Amino acid sequence: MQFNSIEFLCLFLPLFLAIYYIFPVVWRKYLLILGSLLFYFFSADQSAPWLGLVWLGVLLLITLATWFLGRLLEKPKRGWLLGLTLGVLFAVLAFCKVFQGGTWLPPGMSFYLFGVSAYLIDVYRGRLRAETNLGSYAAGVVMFPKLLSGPIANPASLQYQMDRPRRSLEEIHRGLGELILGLSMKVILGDRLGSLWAQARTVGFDSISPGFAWLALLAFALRLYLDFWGYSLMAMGLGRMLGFHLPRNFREPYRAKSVSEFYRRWHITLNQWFREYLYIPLGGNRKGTARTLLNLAIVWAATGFWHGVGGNYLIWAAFLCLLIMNERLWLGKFLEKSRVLCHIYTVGAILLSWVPFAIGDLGEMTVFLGKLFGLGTVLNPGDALPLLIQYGWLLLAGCLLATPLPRKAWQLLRRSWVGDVALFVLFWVGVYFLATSAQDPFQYFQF
Amino acid sequence: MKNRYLALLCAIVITLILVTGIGIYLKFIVLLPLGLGQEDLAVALPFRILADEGLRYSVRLAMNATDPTTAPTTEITTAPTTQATTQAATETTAAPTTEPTTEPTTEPTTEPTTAPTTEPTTEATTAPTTLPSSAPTQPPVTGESWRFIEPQIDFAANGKGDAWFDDVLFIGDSRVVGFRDYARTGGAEYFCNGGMSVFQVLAGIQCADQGFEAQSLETLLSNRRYGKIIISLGINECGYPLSSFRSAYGELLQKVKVLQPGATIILQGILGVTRNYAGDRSYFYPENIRKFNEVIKSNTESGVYYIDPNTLFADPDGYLYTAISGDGCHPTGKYYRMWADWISYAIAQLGI
Repeated sequence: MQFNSIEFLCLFLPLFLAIYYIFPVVWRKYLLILGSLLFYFFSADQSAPWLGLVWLGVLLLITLATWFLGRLLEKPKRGWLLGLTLGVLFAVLAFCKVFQGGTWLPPGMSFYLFGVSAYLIDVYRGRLRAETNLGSYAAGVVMFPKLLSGPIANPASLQYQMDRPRRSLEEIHRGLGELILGLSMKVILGDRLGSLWAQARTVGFDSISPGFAWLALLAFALRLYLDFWGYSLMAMGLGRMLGFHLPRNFREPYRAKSVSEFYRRWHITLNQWFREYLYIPLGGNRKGTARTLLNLAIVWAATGFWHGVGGNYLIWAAFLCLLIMNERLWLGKFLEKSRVLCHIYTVGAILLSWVPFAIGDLGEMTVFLGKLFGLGTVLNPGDALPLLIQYGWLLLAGCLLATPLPRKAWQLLRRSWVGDVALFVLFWVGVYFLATSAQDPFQYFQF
Repeated sequence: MKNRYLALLCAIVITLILVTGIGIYLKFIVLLPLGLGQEDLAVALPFRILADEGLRYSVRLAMNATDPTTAPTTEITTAPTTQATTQAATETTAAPTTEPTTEPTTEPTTEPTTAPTTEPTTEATTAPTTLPSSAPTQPPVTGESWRFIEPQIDFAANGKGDAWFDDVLFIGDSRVVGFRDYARTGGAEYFCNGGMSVFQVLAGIQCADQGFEAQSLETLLSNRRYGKIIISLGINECGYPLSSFRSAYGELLQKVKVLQPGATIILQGILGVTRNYAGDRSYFYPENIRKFNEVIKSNTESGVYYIDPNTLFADPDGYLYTAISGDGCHPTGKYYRMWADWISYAIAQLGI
């Protein structure tokens, strides 16, 4: 079940919330587990319900095993056991990556496996107490707001919230607002910008004009941003409505002044995971320049693999890694001198980096890159103009959402009735789009 | 005070969501698949008023048609080797209007190489057409898709030349949008829209092109003279009952003939989609496309001709070649150029 489905928004969620609020607080974690398992089960194609059962089995097995292992790892430090466990978990993850896109694979694995491994490592390091209560732990792993596509959260970080869930109407109201804003970003803007990108594919990268190519690339970038940010906002809002505080995944990434800053603001929980559990244990930047560069390369190779074993993700990661190394060595000092220049550089570099991210085929990637810089034949040099007219306001709205302005506006409106009216309208417009057009899955669902 | 307001708000929103959810669920997931409630179901959806008029019209038209045998969900599971491209593209005599009697087999269509033994009427895939076959018949690279090899014939050199297109009007769907945007030929004009169907044209949908403002086809044809009119519609109708398509297509053609009595009319068959794009949507299977093309072709008479682009772009199984399409449904931009040249060539072959 995706957040952007009518079944979820209009049936599952209200029913679940009603039951969740009626029952006493102490039952909530069990209700949450039950609801999340149902949610996961219904994520399977319902023509093959046994598949959903298999997925549930996998999820429950991982949850039980890691809970048990967490307790084993705590007392005498068993390094070999941690190594073995992580090895198995990452082997499972690698298996999923190799078969990425297979509809039979349990969804969300890359996200919840990262969550549980963070828990195990933290318990081993002694930073966290192992969770003794299976119910609390399981609720932290399977909670449906973050199950399918993050944010990647250490299940034990929710531990203290599990026994004392917040129960304030203020929070529910705020969460509902975030849910609706996230949904609108995805459905009203993201999906429709996605169709501009799809149109570039339809016409063929070797047939479009350079103007079309740039528009399509901009549309892809904004779509990915609105889609994943929208999803993360929905997850946060849902968490809030249930009384949990999930970590933020986005912090206005396009405001960044460098590529490395961009990735401290984009998909924060994933990049933090790599920082915390890979980069810093490798020595981070404390062991000299050469070692720092090597560590960066390892982290980015891993990030590339996390997105998929397709060569395009490695190209994407390598490109970013080179830029970040460059920034660290000399570009950084140069960029600090000009505010304008560093924004132009960052946005340009990030836009270009989405080319290998978006296009899996190496040949097509080259053709598209060539098109951006005016290489290749152009059949209709004016083909970008009607698109600019058709998609202009969507692109404009998307670009506006990449700035801090909407956040500031929302902070003003949030507590007044104007904000509620706006949310109400946005929700119905969103549901209208959901009911009348084909639904695109969330972009990060594939990972 | 504040809390009471919030509680009220939350309760209202949650109830509203639930009620709408049940409404939408009933309508789209329970009633529509059961064939009920296509007309106004009393579900208070605030956005119902916003429903697209054109879509409503075509749905109503399709549903009013009384042809239970070819409902949109009809399973067409005959092996896809029976393809439209075997039809001689230059035949201008009216084709029999009877439905092809294909035996539905229970076999899924995953084997592209097995010919259906229950069908002796279909010719082999390499049957000679009166057009020199431009569809190469290379063996499939994988078991799934055939390799597209560019035709050897120089269509442009053997065609009518660009000037022939000066008094042409194209009427069509997104595929004609491709012509308009990437293969504008001579002074041709284009009345087209993505998702266009005969139903929408009949409903008076408005389109614009470089030479004319947004207007309905009827207005356009009443105010201008065209020497040739190329109608290229049908892919968006494939999911509808054949009989409703037959009558609507006939009606459209009649209208065009009345408004443009002197024009030569060329009906273009429906080009198939790729195997992947068709997926499990049986209405996109070559077998169904062929049925629709039979209907289109049955309208040929003096002054009304039929050409079939599947001879150019469909593989021997009747699917669009994967290599020439970005999305599985449309050729990419540069192949529209080839397609336009092919039209010119096919028309020269017809001797028009």
